[in-house]
Amino acid sequence: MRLFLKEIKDLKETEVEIRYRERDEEVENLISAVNSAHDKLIGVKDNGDCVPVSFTKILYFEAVDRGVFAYTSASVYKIRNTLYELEDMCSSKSFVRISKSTIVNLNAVRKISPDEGRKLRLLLANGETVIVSRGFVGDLKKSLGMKGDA
Amino acid sequence: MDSQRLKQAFKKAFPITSGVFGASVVLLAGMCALFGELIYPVIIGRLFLTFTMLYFLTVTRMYVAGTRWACNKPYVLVNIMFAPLYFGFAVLGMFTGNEFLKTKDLLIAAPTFIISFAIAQIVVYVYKKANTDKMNDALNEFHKEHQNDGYEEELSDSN
Repeated sequence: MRLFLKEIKDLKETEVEIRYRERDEEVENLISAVNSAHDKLIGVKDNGDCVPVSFTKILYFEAVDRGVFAYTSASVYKIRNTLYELEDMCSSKSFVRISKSTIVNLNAVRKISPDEGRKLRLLLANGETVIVSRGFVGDLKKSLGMKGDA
Repeated sequence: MDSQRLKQAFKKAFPITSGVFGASVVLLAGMCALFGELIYPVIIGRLFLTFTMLYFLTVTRMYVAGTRWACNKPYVLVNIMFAPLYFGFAVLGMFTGNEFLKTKDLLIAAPTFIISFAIAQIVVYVYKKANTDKMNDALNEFHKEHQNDGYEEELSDSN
């Protein structure tokens, strides 16, 4: 495998082109490495350590007392971005806003069940449940490819 | 005991209980005006005490509804579990010592209320469940389409 790096000053966004004869394991590894490079954000652990957190490992983001936290099955990370910024960053990554304070990873949702009023309950991969506010049920339906009306 | 959840339950239950208390006072005043009766302070006092008890019962219900056990069960289960308690508290608070209240009537009213409440809750739940079943089908389709960028479980504390 040969690696070419080229600096182009007027490029708006970094581009990666992979040329291959056959899409084998090596190519797949390259693709996942490239994907994971832009699929991470910086999370701060309880002890203050900054670690990269992959979007694919995040169950949901929640805003609590002016802070935003990312929940994975094993840890909780404080995130420096606002929920609005995260909403923009995640819109193309299977994440959807389900309440004023929560953005959930649809890939981590295992089951949807009804809750009081017109709210919904989402069972996540780690057994936790999060509530979809009635005002966001339409958005969730749209994200799942259904009609948005609740 | 999860103190954060308990605090939330106290906060959430207050506007609900005080709203229903206010509506009850207005209803009572309306009924008294309609029949030309006086509102005795003892009735207002009883109403206040009843709603104080109902407030703590609502806090308990909300706390129980937030437990992992309850979250994994249909939400109506907690409502149905607490219905007899709400009925009991309301009857005890408002009608204890009331000469019009007969045990025989209560023996009919209590099961009638509980059974009709349970049936209404179950019917609404079944209707809602049919909608969420469609959403679960859409979710399964969504997972199939997004297999490549799916959720990966984090196994350890470090990345």
